[in-house]
Amino acid sequence: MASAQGLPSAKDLIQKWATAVNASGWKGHKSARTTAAFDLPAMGMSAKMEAVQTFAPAMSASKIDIPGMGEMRQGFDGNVSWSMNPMQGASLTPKEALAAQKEDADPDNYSRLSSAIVSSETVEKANLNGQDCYKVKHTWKSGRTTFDCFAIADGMVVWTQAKVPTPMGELDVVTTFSAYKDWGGMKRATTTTVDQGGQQFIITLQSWEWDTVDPKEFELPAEVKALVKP
Amino acid sequence: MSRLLPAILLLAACARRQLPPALVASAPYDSAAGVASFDTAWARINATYYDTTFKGHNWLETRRVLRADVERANSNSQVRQAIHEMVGKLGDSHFTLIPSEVFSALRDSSPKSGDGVAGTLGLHIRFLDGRLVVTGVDEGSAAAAAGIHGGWEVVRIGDTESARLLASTRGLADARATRRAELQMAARMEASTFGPAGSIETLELKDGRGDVVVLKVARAPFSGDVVKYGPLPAQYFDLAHHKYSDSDGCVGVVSFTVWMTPLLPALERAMEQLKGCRGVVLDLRGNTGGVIGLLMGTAGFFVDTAVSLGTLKARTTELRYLVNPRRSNRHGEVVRPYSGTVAILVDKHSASATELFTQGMRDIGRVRVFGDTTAGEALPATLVKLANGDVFMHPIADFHAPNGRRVEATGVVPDYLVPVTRRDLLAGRDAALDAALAWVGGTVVLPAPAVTLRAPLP
Repeated sequence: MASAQGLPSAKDLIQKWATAVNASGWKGHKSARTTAAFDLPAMGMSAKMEAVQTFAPAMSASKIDIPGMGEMRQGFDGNVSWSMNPMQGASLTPKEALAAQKEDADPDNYSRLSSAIVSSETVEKANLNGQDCYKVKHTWKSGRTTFDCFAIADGMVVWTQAKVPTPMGELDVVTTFSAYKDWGGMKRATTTTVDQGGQQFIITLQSWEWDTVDPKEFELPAEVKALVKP
Repeated sequence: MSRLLPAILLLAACARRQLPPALVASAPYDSAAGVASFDTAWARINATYYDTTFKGHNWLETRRVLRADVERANSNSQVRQAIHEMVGKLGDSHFTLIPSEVFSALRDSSPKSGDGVAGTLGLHIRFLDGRLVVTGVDEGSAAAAAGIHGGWEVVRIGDTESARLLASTRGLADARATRRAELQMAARMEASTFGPAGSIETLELKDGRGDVVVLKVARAPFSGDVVKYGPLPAQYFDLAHHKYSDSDGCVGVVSFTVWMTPLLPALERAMEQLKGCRGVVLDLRGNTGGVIGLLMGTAGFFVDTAVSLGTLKARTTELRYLVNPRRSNRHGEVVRPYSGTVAILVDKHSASATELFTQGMRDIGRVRVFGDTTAGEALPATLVKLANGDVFMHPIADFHAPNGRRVEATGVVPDYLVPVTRRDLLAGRDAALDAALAWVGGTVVLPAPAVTLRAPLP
């Protein structure tokens, strides 16, 4: 189906994408563990990254270990969202950022068929780094808007654009995806490049495992436990 | 977290440790790498510089003219000259080019973290009244054991000669360039006090009478942490704290050299010792900055609300550097931020993250500031390694203090201006510290005579 401007409908683009990447592949599993390389090329920094998540209940935890700098950790145990790093110490996520974080945590979001997205429309044909794509605007339940660009050549999401709320303020973020391949039965980008505020970081996926996550991995660190009021 | 990580890891730091050019062998020139280096430096500024008018300069035209020079260049120094000319048009701090030869020499000579081989003489050096002067000698250091005294003039440390460094400041275009050169000169001389533990250095100094004193001093092991941050040379982190007790209790003094990640655990240990004191002085004199994200955790030891210490303003992003009040410790115990009186000590060599922290803490009404006007070198910056091996630091954002004003160029003007003088140093007096201690301590009995506070500047 084509839109009035001759653009394909968002619904078609999303459906093709969801099918091609087997977006519902997570539904046969309880948890996932990923490891990746986290690079800040401009700063000459490379770190190891590990992330774990469970789907029901939705819990997540991640750590990035930067040599010489220490561990940057964050987590959500279903009730408490927290972060801890050598620059700021331990902190709980403010309520206003927590809502967006919860919305982002839904594993169905990968399909773009998530109930958190209330509408999607194709807005233009775009080009980034020589690759033509159809830009789709999503409006979320929370009211925020994000954009995906689906490659004309193969239907993969090649970049996204979003204003991301953080405790420090809103970040204008452009994320590009490349080197799609099979990771645990789902097609995912091996390389994710994030540009924001004149800086860039690159996440290169290294492993993907289903159902190896121990619930203890979501336990709050002592410094965070002390912050939680009984 | 990962999204905020680049903002947290941004640098606000002035070069502390560089080798004098004479120590550095010149690298062979590769013209393609030279042009690519210039192009990268230009493109980075073009894509990220916070002022899209480029201070009124036609940035494309700047590239056209200077790139032609680079295409004709036959040495890396000519490429660097073109880059210096380019960034000079913008006039901001934090445009730093570390030549590949210097970078390699620093990397090769940098002691490794934690292996106990880093050494220091334990001297602090500033530019004062037209000369390089010892402004501090660490307690128990090699310099203290050798009898070196505050106020002595530094003539030479090893191959680093004051006269040669001073010559480089002559004929500079303006006061700001001169001030920056003076800061770098002192930093370079102070850098020469570091080296492998046990290595022997020859020092030529002039004492209070003007007599030349030549000493051979072995560097003692450095007691702090040697930190590696991205492509930067090794950074020497050390935190010291002192507790002055009297019949009414105590006041504390905490000083640290650079804003690097060992800071928060070290500060936590220091503040555990000082939490019962009625006042604390943060001595940030000579601290030339570091990782900007540390402002938030550090302020959290002294501030009980998540207020902003200032706003980073990049082209498309504004981020507030919010205090993270310290409400738990490494043992998982509930704690409260320190609520006693706090003063901050700064001087002309306090720069970057130190200035942002000081101005922010003053604007939110938490501290009084003592000492001398700071360097005015205060922009968030990032790094990139160029094709010729040089490391290029460039600002990517402006920074506005909570009261809306910039610290860049103007610096932080203390509430109580107590400049350091050679006479005080020779007399063993630290007038700025005395003033700050008197203010935070009230009736505390100090080892030095009480000082009269001067009126704050308007």
